[in-house]
Amino acid sequence: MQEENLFTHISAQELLLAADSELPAERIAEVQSHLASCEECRARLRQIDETSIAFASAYRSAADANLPDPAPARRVLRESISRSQPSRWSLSRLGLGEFLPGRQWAYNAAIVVFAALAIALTYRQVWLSNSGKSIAQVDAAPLPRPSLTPGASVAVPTNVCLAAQREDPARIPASEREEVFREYGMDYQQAKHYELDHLITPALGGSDDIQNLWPEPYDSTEWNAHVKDQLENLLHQMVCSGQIDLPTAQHDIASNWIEAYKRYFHTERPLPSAPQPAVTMLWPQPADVRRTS
Amino acid sequence: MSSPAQDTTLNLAVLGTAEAALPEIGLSSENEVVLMFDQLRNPLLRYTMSLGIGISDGEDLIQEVFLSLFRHLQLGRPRSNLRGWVFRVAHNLALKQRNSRQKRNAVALSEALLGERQIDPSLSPEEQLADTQRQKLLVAVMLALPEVDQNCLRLRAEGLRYREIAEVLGISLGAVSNSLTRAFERLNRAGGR
Repeated sequence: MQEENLFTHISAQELLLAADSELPAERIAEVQSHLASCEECRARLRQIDETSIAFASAYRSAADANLPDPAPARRVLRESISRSQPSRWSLSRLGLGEFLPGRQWAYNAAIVVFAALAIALTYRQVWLSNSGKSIAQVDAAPLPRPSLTPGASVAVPTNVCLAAQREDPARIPASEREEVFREYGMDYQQAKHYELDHLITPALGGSDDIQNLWPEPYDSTEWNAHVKDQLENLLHQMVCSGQIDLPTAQHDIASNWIEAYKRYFHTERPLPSAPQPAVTMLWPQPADVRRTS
Repeated sequence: MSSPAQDTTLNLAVLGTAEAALPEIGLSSENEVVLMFDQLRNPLLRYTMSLGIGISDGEDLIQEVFLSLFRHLQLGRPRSNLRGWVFRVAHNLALKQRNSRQKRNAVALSEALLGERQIDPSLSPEEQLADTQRQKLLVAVMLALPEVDQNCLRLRAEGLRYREIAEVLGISLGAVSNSLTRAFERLNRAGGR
């Protein structure tokens, strides 16, 4: 495969799609290994990149000279929104909560009932496991329990972009590791099926505090530890390239990492071990280049 | 963790997420809509202008888009890819409006696009001139492209991912990458770099 790649250049179409993670993971890996050894394709990618940036800046600056201040339009929008929901405002002022139209109300009521059932079931299972009857019945949950694991970050964060902190479970004392499993009503013997995960990853300033640790299933659920790693890598990249700030990244990953994943990756389902949406990954690191040339 | 080594100049995806809509979890629908308005109003206005809609019509159109978004959220409709959704609604409204006005404004806009522009004050007068000329050239090359290619380019310049562009324009992912490949080649030949 390697040999073949050396002599079959990557089409511009494929370069573009690979850069946006829109190719199967195996193909992306092939494209990466081709790029590592082909100066010609690297140059083409660089050229596309530069053209794209030059165009975006020309296009924006052309139009931006004419854009009016958004503040009045924002005010109008807020007014129209409040006008479109008068009943909601009056009811909420009376303390009656949000007004909900009939079907919506029934729908929400159903959700509440369902949630109550789910909570009841969870408690039952925790109770069962705590009473030693059935540890195995505690299902692998893809999300931590907020009461046990709200997430915690280091008080004075180091620059997470300069010196990336790794997740290193070995750094956590055995007693603390066991404590996490005990908290969750789980048998420490099961530990190998779980990553002792930092809810806020150290690379985003997360701490080793027990409030930031939880047993995250490796593969018993679709939203598993490997999927969360993708999000951690993406958020780290976005923070370090200035696209979002660190508190936002910490907040989003700690409040509900699955929802955050869906939003940041624009998908409803986990991506198949997709590497990175950024072309930085397509670029061989300097060490690779040296090796091949 | 992957290596934090970042070389943003070589990072196509920088454009892809620069103005990504990232509504906070747990906001009210109203605040979420206003947050998205703040993030997407300029990109949308540029886009509708480039489709031949004048500024004040564009502002009205965008109001309509975000009111629809508010209703969409209140009804609990799908929240995946709201940015693509917003652009698609704006695109469709703009085409509807433009067709009823027979592209009257399109010419005026092309002129506006080629006219005034922001100038980087850190450049010398000669560099400013060269920069302005190069930017005018790029916009002129774009205006000579087939309309689908133009729209792909504009949406990409606004930071949409290929998947989102395909959704907005109702074409396949392959068609988006073909359009953009063609467009980048033209721009490049015309001195895009």
